[in-house]
Amino acid sequence: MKIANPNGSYIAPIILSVGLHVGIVVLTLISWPSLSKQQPIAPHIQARILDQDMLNQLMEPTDPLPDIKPKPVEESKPAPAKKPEKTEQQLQAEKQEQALLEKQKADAEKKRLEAIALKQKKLEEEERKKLEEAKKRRLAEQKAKEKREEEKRLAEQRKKQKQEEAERKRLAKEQEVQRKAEAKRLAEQKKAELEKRLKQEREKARLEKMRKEELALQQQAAEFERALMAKAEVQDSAKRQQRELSELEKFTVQIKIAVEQAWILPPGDNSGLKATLNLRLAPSGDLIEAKITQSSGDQAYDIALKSAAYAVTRYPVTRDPQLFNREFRNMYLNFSTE
Amino acid sequence: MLNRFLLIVCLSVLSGPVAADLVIEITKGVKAALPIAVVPFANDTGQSLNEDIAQIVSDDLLRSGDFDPLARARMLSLPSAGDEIYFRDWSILGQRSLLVGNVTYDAASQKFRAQYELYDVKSQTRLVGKVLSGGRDKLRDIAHAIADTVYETLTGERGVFATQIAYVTLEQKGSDVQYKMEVADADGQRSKLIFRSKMPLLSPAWAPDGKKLAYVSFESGRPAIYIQDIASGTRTLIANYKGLNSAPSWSPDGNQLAMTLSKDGNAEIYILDLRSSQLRRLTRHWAIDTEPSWSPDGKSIVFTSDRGGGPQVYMVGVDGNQPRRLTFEGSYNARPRFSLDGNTIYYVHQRSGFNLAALDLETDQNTILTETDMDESPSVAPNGSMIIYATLKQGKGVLAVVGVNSGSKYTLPARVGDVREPAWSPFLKVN
Repeated sequence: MKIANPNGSYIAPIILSVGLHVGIVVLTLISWPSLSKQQPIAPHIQARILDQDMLNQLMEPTDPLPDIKPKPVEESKPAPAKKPEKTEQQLQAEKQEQALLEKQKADAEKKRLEAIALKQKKLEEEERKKLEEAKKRRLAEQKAKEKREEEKRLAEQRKKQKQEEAERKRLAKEQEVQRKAEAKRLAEQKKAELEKRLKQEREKARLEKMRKEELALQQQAAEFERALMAKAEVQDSAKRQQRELSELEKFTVQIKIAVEQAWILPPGDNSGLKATLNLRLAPSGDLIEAKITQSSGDQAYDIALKSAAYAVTRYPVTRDPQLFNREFRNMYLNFSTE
Repeated sequence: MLNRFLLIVCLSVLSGPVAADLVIEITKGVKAALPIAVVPFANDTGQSLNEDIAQIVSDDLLRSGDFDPLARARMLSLPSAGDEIYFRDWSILGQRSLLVGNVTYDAASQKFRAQYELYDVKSQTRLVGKVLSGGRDKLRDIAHAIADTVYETLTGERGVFATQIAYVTLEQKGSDVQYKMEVADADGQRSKLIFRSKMPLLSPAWAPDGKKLAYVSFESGRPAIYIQDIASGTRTLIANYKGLNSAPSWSPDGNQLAMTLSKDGNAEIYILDLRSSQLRRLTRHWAIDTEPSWSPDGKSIVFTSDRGGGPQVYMVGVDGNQPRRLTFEGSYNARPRFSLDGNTIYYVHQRSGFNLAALDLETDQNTILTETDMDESPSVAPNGSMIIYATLKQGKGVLAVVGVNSGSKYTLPARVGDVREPAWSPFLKVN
């Protein structure tokens, strides 16, 4: 779809827009030198640096051991490695000295160590004891702490409970309030609903009334229309009857004329003679059979009228099948002479 | 339960025409001669027949004025029995009735046997079927009997084709004068002589039994009344009083004869008891009272009287109470005769000529019946449907018949001489 450009060319803006978008895309794709990757954190070792001084200290228990509190694991930064700045000779001498020292030390050490060991054992024992005691103490403390904590917890719990209780109460109250409010609301709602319903019902009633009135009007209208239709129907039926009647009249006259013209009266006085002839006609108007149902008592009269009925070559009859079946299929001729 | 069911069934069956079925009132018809085809009878006798039965029947029916027989030339087929009939042949010719028949001969009895059937063409139903037999001389009687049956079946009235007429002929050959009283068939055939005289014969009157004729004869030089037995020819003089003896009229029971006698001064009407020969006077008036005629019920007599100044018709009871005048139109009304039912008087009425007229006693309506205008001596057929009378045709005396209700109008075959004074016989017993 070509967009018409009524006000000059759109080329420049298009280029700018495209360039911007391209720039953004490029920028996102280029990997900037990010912050150095975080070195993996070494597993933390809980280490106490035991150096000479410390050992010395240990050998002489002067101060009660400080509370050994389980120290939280500290995130210690790994110390950077110190680089000794010494020459190689020095190093060798040092080393020899050191070796001697060390040997002396070693012996002393050994003794000392033995003593230490003993002491250590004792210490250890004591320490163990202490540890145990500490442990016990710790335990006790723990327990106490726990108890305290328990208590605290309990207290807290209680407090909490109280709080909760209070909260509950508050909540309950709130709920109560809410409930009351709710109830009120409900009540009001109900009232409102009731009112609404009442209103609705009134409305409904009104509508109903209106509807009824309308219905009544409709019914009236319908009845009026029905009456009109019935009248029309009656008129129609009257028309139909009229038509049928006029057809009936027409054919009656025609049949009467046809028969009367065919009826050769016997000579002499026929006054007072009368007879009835039953005719059965086919829809074509042809005579199927003529039968005397009421004789005149005069044979010649009967012969003449029967002959007349048969002498009519075709009876003029209606083509309306309903009318034919009703009136013409089986009909009667009453012959009489004054 | 069953009874109730049956009742309901019966009620519904017997309820008659359903209300919805059309009922049309037919209140008038056509007064017309009935078209009838009389097919020549098949001759299965093996011999020639001297009489054409079908033709006699056809002629009889034609003369009655109530039938219109189909000319033979127009017939499309000639059936002689029912199974040969193709009804359409006759229907398309507009025929309503069809007569077919055949004649056979029984050599043993020497009798001819005529078998006939009458059909209604439109409804294709057989109305009558009979067999008649008789000798060769009876063929005409058979034919007339068939005509009578057809007539009666289709009109409801008795036919008069087997009746007879009596009449007088006058032959003049120069100075020779011959009066003859004859009796013939109603169609004028087979005439036979009853009495001949050089002197006038007048006023034949049939006895109700058809066996005797009373008439006036001048054979003695004076008018006298005779009764003659037709079969035997025996004559009896019954009235020969001083003066007039004329115009005999039989009572319906045949025991009395009304007549005109002038023995007591002027013409009066008397009644003669034939058994006791007792004479009773009926009229007492100085005017002429003549031409009596009995009513069919035997209680009244009509006659001609000029007591009103000119001839008029009067009626009087047989017990003789005051006669009353019946005719008031015209100056001449005479020769009255009762109709069969006693409700009409036929008489001669003069206007320009002399015509037969009919007077309805109930409505006092007069009707002229004839177009011929020298009419006299009306005599009513025994079925009341026709009147025979004397008239002049081309100057010659002839007998004519006119139908009372039908358009019948014919003249009997001419005879030698003048024919006059006709009298129609009663119904004759078939022998």
